[in-house]
Amino acid sequence: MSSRADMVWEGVLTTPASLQPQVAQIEQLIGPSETFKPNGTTTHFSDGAGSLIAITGGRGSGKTTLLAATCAHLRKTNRAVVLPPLQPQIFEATDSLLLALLIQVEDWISSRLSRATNENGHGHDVMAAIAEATRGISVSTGGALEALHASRESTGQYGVDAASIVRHRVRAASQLERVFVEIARGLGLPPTTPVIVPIDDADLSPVHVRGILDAIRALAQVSQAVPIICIDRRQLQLGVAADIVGSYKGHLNYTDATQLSTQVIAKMLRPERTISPPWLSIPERIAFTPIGETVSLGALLGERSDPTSLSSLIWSLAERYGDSELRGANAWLPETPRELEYVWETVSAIQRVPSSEVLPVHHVRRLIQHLFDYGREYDVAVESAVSGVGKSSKKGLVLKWPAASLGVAAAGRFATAVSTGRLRLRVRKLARITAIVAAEASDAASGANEARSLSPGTVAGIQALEELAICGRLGTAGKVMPFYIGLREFEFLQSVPINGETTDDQFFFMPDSSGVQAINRAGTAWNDLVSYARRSSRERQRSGATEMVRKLIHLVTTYWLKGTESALAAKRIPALQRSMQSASLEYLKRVQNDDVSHHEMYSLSRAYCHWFEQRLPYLFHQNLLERETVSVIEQWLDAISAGPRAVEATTELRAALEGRFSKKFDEERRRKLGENSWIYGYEALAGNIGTELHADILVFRDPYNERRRSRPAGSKVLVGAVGLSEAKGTYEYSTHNTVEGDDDMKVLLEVLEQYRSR
Amino acid sequence: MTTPHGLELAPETLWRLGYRNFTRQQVKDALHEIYEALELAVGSRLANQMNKKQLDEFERLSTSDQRALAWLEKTVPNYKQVVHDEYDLLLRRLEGAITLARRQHRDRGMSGEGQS
Repeated sequence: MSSRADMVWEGVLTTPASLQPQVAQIEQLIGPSETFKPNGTTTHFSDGAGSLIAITGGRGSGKTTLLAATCAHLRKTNRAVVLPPLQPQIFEATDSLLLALLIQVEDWISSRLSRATNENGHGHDVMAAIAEATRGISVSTGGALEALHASRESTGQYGVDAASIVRHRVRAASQLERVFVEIARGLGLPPTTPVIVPIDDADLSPVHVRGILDAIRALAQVSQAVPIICIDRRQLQLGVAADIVGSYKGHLNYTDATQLSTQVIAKMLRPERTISPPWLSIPERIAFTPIGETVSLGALLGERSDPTSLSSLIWSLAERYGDSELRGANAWLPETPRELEYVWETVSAIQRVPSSEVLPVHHVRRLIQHLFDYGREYDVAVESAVSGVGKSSKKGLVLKWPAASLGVAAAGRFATAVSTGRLRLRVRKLARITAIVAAEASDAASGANEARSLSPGTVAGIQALEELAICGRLGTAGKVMPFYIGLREFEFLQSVPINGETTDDQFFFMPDSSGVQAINRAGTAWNDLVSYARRSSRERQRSGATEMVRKLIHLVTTYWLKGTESALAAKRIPALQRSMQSASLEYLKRVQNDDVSHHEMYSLSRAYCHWFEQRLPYLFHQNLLERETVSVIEQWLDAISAGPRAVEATTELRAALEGRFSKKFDEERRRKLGENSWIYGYEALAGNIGTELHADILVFRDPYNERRRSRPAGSKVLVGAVGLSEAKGTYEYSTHNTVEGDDDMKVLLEVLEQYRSR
Repeated sequence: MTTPHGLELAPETLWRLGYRNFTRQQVKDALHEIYEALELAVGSRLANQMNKKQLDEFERLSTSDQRALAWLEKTVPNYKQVVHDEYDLLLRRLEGAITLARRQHRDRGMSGEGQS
C-alpha cells in the first residue's frame, strides 16, 4: 500500500506556480515557522481550534494536486514529518482509518529509519509504539460490543468489562501520540514536530464515510498530527446523507438526512482552515501531469494526434461553447486537472485497445462533445467492436449500502461517443444523487412495513451522542476534553426538538456501538425517564416510575461521586454495590421488555447501559462539576467508604440525593476553556443536569457537619426508644401485590417525603 | 404503643393505622422507610440542640451505644420526649393520609356508580 502511495504521490512532476499561494496558506495554518525550531522549544501549534486542514473543491478542481504540492513542499522544508497519503476509498471494509494509517506508517517508516536507526537507535522504539497503538486501536474500535456480549453473566462483570473498554480507548489515543513522537525522534526531529497526515478523497468511500470522519477528527486531536484532507463537499454530503439514511434503514428521509449531513460537515470543516485550489491557467493545465503518470497530458495528446487537425478541432469547440477565453493552441482542454485526467484515461484506454487505428479528428471531436454534454462525472468504456467485450476505465464506482439496500451506481445507458470499425468508445453519466433519491422513493413505495420513522431531531440527538462517543473514546482524565467538540457541535441539536420536546429539557444517550434498529425506542425510554424525574413526586408516583427513577438516579449519582469506573470496585460499600446491581438489572429489564426480539443480536440495552452508567457520569464528573463541589462529595465519600459510619453515611447520602437531578457546572471553568470547549456547546444540557445537583450539594456543603452528625444521634436514640419488629402479629398479609397495596404504598411514601422535607 | 422499648414499629402498627393491603415484603419495606425517616428527623432535632463542640464530642462517643446514650441523657435531657413527639407526629400523618385516601376512593366509587 505504501509503496503504491509513495509512487503515486512522488510522481507529481510539476507543481503549477499558481498553487504556491495556497501551499503557503496551508503552511501558515500548520503553524508559524518559529513553531518548528529544531531546538526542541517548540510550541504547540494546535491552539484548540483543531489541527484539521481541509482542501475542498469540486471533482477535478485540483485538490489532490494541491495536497501533493503541499506535501512535496513540506518535505523539502523539513519542517514536518509528512506521512504517505491515505486513500480511504482503497481501504478494506473492516479497516478503520487509524489502523490503515498505522499499517501504512509501519511500511513507510521502516525504510526511512534504516539509516537513522544506526545513528540513534530509535527504530525499535518506533516499531514498538506502532505495534502497541495497533493493538490499542484494534481493541478500541472493534472490541467493545464483543466484550459487552461476552459478559452477559452478571451486571457487575458487564460493568467491569465496559470500564476496561473505556480504558483501552483512552489508551489508544495516547498510543497514537506516542507513535508520532517516536517517528519524529527516529528521524532526528524534535518530538513536537508536526506530523502531516495527507488524506485524499476522504469522501469517496461513502459506505463508511462517517467512520472515516470520526477517525479524522480523532486524529486531529492528537497533539502533533495535522490531517490535511481533500474533500468535495457535495460528494461528502451525499456520502454522509446516504450513510445516515442507510444507518437508519429508511427511517429517515433523504431531505432530513441531507440537512443533518450538512451540519455534520459544517462542524468539521472550519472556514478558517479550509482552502480551495486555484483555477489553473491553460499552460499549467497542459503541463499538468496526472498523478501516477510520468509525462504531461499535453505531451501525450501531442503524441497521438495531428497537432494541426487538433487545433482546428479546438477552435471549433471554442466557437460552439462560446468561450471567448479559450484561446491558443490547446484552449479546448477542460478546465480542471480531473477533467484532464479523464481525457487522459480516455486516450490511454484507446491506446490499450489492440488497434493500429489512429482516431480521426472528427472522432476525437465527438468524444469531447460527449464528455462536455455528460458533465464532469462520467464513465468511459472502450469496447472492441468485434468481440463486444467492454472494458470500463473506471471501476469501483458502483456503491452500495447493504443495510439500506441503497445502490449508488453509474446511471443511465452508455452512449456511444466514438465508433470505428474496430472499437467503440462509450460514455455514461455517473449520478449518485439520483440513486439515493431513487432509494428513498423505493423505500416509500415498499414501505408499509417500515411504519416507524425517525424525526430529524431524534437523529440529531443520536449524532450528537455519537460525538460524545468520540469524545469519550479520546478523553483522558485531567486533560481538556477534545477540542473538536465545540460550539458548533450542539447548536443544531439545541435547535431541534427531540420527541416533541426541545433539547433544552431532554436528551438521551446512545452508544456508538449499539446499532440503530431500536434507537427510537431507546430514546423514548430515556426521555420518559427524564420526564418522570422532572415531574413532581406525586405525579411520578402516579406514573408508577418512582422507584425506577430513584434507583437510576441513584446509580448515576453514585458514578458521579466517584467519577470513574472505580465506583464499581466499591465492594466495600455493599449497599452501593447492591443498589447499582439492582438499578442495572431493572434498567435492562425495562429496555428489554420493550421489545426483546430486537435486542438479541447486539444487546442494545447493554451498550446503552454502558453509556448511561459509564460515560455520562464520567464526562460530567470531569467537566461539569465545580471543583469545590467535587471535594465536598469526596469528603462525604471518605465517610462512606471507611469507618463504622459507612452504612449510615451511605444511607444518608442516598436519602439526600435520591430523586434529584443535578444542574451545576462550573461556569468559571467553562469560561476559561472558552468556546472551543465542548462544554460550551453543551450548555443547555449541562444546565439541566448541573444546577439541581449543585443545589443538592449546597445542602451538603453548608450544614454538612451538622447533617452528617444528626443521623447517628437519631440512630442511637431510636435504638433504645423504638422497637422495630417484623413479627407478623395479627397482620393479614396479602399473598401478592395488589393495586390497593401499591396505592397504599404510594400514600405512605408521599407522607414520608413530606415529613422528611418539612 | 408502649413496649419494652417504649414505642414500637411492627406490622400491627401499619394495620392499626389503616395500611392493610400489603404483602409481607411491602410491610417490611414500609417499616424500614418509616424507621429511617424517624431516625433522621429525631437526629436532626437533637443535633439542632447541640453546639459544634457537643456534636464533635457526640461523634467521638458514638462508637459505643451506652456511652453515647448516657452522654445524650446528660446533654439533651429531653431526648425521649423528642422521640415520642416525632413518633406521634409521623404516625398521625400516616393515619390521616390513608384515611383521606380511602375516603376519596370511596367518594369516587360512589360518584362513578351514580353516573352509570
